[in-house]
Amino acid sequence: MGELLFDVGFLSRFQFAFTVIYHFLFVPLSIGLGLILALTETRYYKTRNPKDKAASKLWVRIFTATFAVGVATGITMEFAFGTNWANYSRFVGDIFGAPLAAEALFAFFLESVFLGVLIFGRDKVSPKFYMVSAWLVWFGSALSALWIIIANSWMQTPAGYEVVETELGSKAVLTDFFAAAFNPSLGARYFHTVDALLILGAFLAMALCAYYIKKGRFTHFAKTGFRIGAIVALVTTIIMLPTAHEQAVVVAENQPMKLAAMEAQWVDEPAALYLFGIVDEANQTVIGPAIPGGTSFLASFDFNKVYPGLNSFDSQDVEALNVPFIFYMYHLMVIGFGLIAIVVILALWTSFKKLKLNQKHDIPTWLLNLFIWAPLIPFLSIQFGWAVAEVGRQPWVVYGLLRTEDAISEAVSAPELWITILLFFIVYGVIFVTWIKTIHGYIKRGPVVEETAHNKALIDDIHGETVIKEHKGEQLLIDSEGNEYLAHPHSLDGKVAVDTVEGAEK
Amino acid sequence: MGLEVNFLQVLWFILLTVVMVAYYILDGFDLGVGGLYPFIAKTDEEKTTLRNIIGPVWDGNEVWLLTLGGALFAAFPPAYATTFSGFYLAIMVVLFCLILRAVAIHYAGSHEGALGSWWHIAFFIGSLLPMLLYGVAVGNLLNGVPLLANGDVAGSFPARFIQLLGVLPLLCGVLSLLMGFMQGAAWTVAKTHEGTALHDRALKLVKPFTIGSIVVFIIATVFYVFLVVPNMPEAGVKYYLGGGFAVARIITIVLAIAACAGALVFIGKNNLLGFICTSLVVAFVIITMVLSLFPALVPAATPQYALMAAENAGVTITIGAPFASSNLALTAMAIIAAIGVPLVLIYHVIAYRIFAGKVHHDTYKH
Repeated sequence: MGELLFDVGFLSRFQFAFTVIYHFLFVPLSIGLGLILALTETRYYKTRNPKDKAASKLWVRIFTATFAVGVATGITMEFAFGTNWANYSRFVGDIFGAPLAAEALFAFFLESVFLGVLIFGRDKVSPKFYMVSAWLVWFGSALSALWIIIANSWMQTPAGYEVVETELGSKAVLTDFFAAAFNPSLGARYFHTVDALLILGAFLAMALCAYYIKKGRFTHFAKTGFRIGAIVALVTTIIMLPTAHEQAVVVAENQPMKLAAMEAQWVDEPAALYLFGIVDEANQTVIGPAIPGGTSFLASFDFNKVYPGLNSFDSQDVEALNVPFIFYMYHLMVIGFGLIAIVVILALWTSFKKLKLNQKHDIPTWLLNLFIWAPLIPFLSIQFGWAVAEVGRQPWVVYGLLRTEDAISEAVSAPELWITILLFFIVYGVIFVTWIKTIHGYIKRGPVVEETAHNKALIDDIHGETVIKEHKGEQLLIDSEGNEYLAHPHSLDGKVAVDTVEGAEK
Repeated sequence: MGLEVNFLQVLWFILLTVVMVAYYILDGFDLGVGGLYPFIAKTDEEKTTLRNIIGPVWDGNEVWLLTLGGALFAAFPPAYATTFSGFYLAIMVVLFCLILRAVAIHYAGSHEGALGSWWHIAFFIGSLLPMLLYGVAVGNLLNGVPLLANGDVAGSFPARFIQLLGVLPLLCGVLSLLMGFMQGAAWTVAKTHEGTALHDRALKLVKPFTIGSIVVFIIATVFYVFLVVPNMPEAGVKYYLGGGFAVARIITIVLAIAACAGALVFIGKNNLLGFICTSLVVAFVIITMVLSLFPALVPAATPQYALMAAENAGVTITIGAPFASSNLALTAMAIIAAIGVPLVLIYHVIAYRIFAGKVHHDTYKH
């Protein structure tokens, strides 16, 4: 352990892993919630209902606060190739740099300009332009994902290149742009990743809505939002199946050692599919229930197809591979998917059988709590999946071409890495706390309908029991369904204060 | 090695220059506003106004930096690898500043109390240090960098970090700061209502910063030509310093001075033209700088560093082979740029048109 503290390779990997996982906490939220935001804004564009506007405004707040952190922490990743992986950059620059530049040119400009419109422009542009801006930001983020996954997939399944010797050492040189960009694992990886992010977005939308349903607040937002989330979750969960199958096919064809590690299979045989299990490295076996030939079937539709086991590969390479880790990460991801499917079925039942507009619901609290915590499942599954992809690629940084240990910046020393790792902990920690506090504030306040010339009548017509709530100097009207309205003094005429609460939730 | 250059390599050198100019004109003004933030904004309303004049556009401006990084990586990988790893801590300081600043701009308005004031400081420092360090980095490139045979920057931590702070780098750092302040003040003047205290404070600052930029620019140029260039190794950048390039640089220097004069004339009368003039100052200063580097990207300065053993010495990293990417890669990127750059310009026109006009503290309710 002490040696690792002075190992630039280890420290560089640690720093990259920490910063990329942190970055990838916010990216899935942005891409997932971006779709929910665009759908909500489209709904408002059609209905012109001020409650839908309030819903969209809340999603804009949550989305932009998250997106800001995602963008800021993304700069780290672009710099990291040069700062910490200089030899990698020299080796792959001819191929790897272009997608990064294209990502900035095609995606980042699109996202950032129309994000400015989303944050600042609601009163400056037409409703249609605003709705289109929401879609463009989401489209930009999906495009950004495409370019960076092109780059990552090339590291997994390099294509369209040749390795040449120069005065500066060997490097990969582009021979076919389209072969490199549309390399064998791109399609499967892209759709698998983006679909997973959309599942997460749908789960988050449902979680927020379930929270409001539990609290009896904003039932209009909660019921409509929950249904949008449930439908998106259903569609994306179904799409997940073919993308997962395609991933298995691609890994089996291109990275057989990774496939063997995923199922911890040491000998050449039809690959089993373990439901879960404990890896016994010493005896080269796994203890747990398995479907014999299951993985072979997933990858080839043939239960009897034989795949090479770990013993068939270079023993040094296998030694550098953390087989149990890859096995556990892979199986946790698959178990995560099973849980996701169960939650989706429960969500559809809840949305269509239990949540009727203008009706009191009778959903048990445990079910609402399940929906509130459910986003953790796709959230963690996404991280597990990437851990399989990246750790499973070891000991290579570019599969079969460049070893991770040869990719580092020799100019950077261990003390410099300690300094920056420490600074990352501090800075990213502060940002995380601020982000949580901000999002918590947005959620607590909720999608309050603001009074405008158009919806004054709506506030005047609130029927039934009305509660007036004081919140940070604002007076809020609450109707019988728990929807809240920001009230001006004149709109309080004739309303009786049933309850006055300061800052607290009803 | 590396002094033969082809069309594609020169094209990408020019495109990188264009991206750098666009970056420093655009992000220059929002970094500058951040650097001036505690000095010209006295009240909370004025602080909000300053954040509002950059709020909708700063993020798009910063993407030019990411484009610059990505394009350098793609077109000239060894230059990207050597500078980013060799200037490790300096680059990381810039990175942390940009991260904190991005988050600060978003969160400074939405938090009260201690956390809120912390984000105001982060916005200020996060804007100030990158401006300074960009100049220091450029100054080191002009000075020449001690290189090893494998292309890495020589020296070990912490001496290598301190070595970055030479005379020319510091001059360039001050120049970079002054230009950022100039852009920030000129943008504030153009975007705030006449007669407001904020507008007047910014107006008073534009001229001193513009004149200061030109004065430091000339001092740095003289220092470079008479004290740095004569010590350069023959096989380095000196190759291109004579003849046409000397004339070209004299022209860009004259144009920078002319743009400065234009700024002095227009500021206070037509503030948009004034901002365009200060932007031209930035453009001509950067063009003079890259003309001085061409065809090198990272000149080797081995003889200046006694620590270096000669047989271990690296060579100047230029834009030619073997430092440039392959012609196929450069062509593919040129096609990407030909499609992408017009789109980027359209996005910018859209953004700056939507958010055109004067801004005050409650212009945007969100």
